[in-house]
Amino acid sequence: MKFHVQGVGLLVLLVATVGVFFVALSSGRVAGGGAALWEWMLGQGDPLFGRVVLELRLPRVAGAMAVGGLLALSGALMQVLVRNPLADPYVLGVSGGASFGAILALLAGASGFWVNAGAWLGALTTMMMVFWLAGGIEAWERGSRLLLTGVVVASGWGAGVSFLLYLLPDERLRTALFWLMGDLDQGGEAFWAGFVLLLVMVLVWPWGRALNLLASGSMRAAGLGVAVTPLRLLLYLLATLAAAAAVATAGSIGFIGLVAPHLLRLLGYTDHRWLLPASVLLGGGLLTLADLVARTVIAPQQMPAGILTALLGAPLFLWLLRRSRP
Amino acid sequence: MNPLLELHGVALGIGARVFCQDLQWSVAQGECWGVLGPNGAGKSTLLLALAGLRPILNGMIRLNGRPLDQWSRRQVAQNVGILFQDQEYLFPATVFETVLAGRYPHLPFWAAGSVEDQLRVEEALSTMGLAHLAQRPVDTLSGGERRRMEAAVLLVQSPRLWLLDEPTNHLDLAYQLLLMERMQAACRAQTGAMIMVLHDINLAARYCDHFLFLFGDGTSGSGTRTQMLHAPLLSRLYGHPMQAVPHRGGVSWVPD
Repeated sequence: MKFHVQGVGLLVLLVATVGVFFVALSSGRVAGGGAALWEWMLGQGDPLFGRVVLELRLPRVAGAMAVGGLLALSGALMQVLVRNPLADPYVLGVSGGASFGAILALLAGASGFWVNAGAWLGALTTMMMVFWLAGGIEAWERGSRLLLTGVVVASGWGAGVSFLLYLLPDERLRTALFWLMGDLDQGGEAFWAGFVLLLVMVLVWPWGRALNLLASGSMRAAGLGVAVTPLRLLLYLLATLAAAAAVATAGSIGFIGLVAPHLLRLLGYTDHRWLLPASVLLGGGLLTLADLVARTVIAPQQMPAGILTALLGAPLFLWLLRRSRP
Repeated sequence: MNPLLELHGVALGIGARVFCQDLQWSVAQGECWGVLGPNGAGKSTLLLALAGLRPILNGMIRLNGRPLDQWSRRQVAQNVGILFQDQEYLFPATVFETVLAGRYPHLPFWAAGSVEDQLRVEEALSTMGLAHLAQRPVDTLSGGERRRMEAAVLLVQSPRLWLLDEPTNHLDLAYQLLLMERMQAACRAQTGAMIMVLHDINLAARYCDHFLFLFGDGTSGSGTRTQMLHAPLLSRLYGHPMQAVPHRGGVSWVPD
């Protein structure tokens, strides 16, 4: 049965993701590799190496895992919510609002924590604004109202961000650009991102079967007994929350939220009870891999990971898409 | 015993358009109703309202004697099944999964589909001549195959009140008859009732024993087949002269 295929696939993904996690932990400027990591984990090895792993790499790798997972999960939920396969975590303007908040904080002279706080504030404001502008949940039934509202709000924020960039003094411009490209070097709070990821997953996973129905249309879902309005409200809150947490932690990283769920759909993941956890693993693994390449390929320089997500993911996705032509 | 479905003074409309006003109607178990009317007369809207998927402007709908708005969505879905006029699939799913989803209202929140549910799906698929397509992605089906799959969803849902919106869309003649026979047999087995919107008067006359006419100007009429199927009434309904042609001891309806 298809069911077991999806289960086995999930297991393979899990193993691969754990593998990527350890490779990312053992790679970097302070040479070490897998052997050194193993020695250190056994309690032998160089204490300096241990500190590098614990204090520098672990937060970054865990952050990449959590942010990638959040983006993919948010994307999968958004696609069902607006019932559009092209939706991504940023389609409802959350990323635009977060960017505006973060760069406004930079303009005000803030750094570190306050930039992330600005991003959170911008994201949450946008959540409420889009919800209100789209006329409340009952109005969403009518076609693409929610999607349209989000897209227009996002472009509004885009203009705002451009204006702020224009105002920003040169020495801060680089920080802002890195933030806009999505960078895991900001010391964002990996712990909080992981916590939000777990929370969203626990709350949404039991509704997997209802999500399958909602994906086939809200009328169909309601006709088969799904209470559509509360479910959509839940999806809206959780998907925007996940996107907000991802953006506030690592800036706006594109591509993963759109592509991770679709990659899996192309591979035969049709049931959201399997698709959601698989998306989290794939998204986390992809972003960790992208970040690993970003910080090793031109070392000691480091690129924002956001540049590489699309570079790595696009060929893979296009190949699968082409191969799957009916 | 309560009729399965009762409408008291129901008004139905979209925006400024009123489809019917003060509709009194009752459907008992074992009955098969045909809903006829011109385009835009509110036939589909009526079916959606009966399934609780669209609000009514006025009046009251009772299902098993209890007001419809007091039922939860899940309870409604256990008792009322609807075959939509159109259904588009944007996300990939196999035929088997799609039909299995018809069991949703009967499954506990947490449980996976049991072996019995899977057997029901297989049975419904072979009833509709789809057994060989079970693992096919839905978006590779033809219009007619998809229609039969939709019917299989309904068979698996096995409600008591069956609402069919143009069930024979996209189907060739043989499958039109097969679908009607199978649906009616299943409905009878559930001691249920059936209400269907049809455009083919002759197909409707063949399977329906009662008729509701929506004239499109806010008026309506209902009654048994012999009360309703008359040339003057049908001519008024479609705004075109209709004529009964003798055919094998009965009549066939043709436009004049």
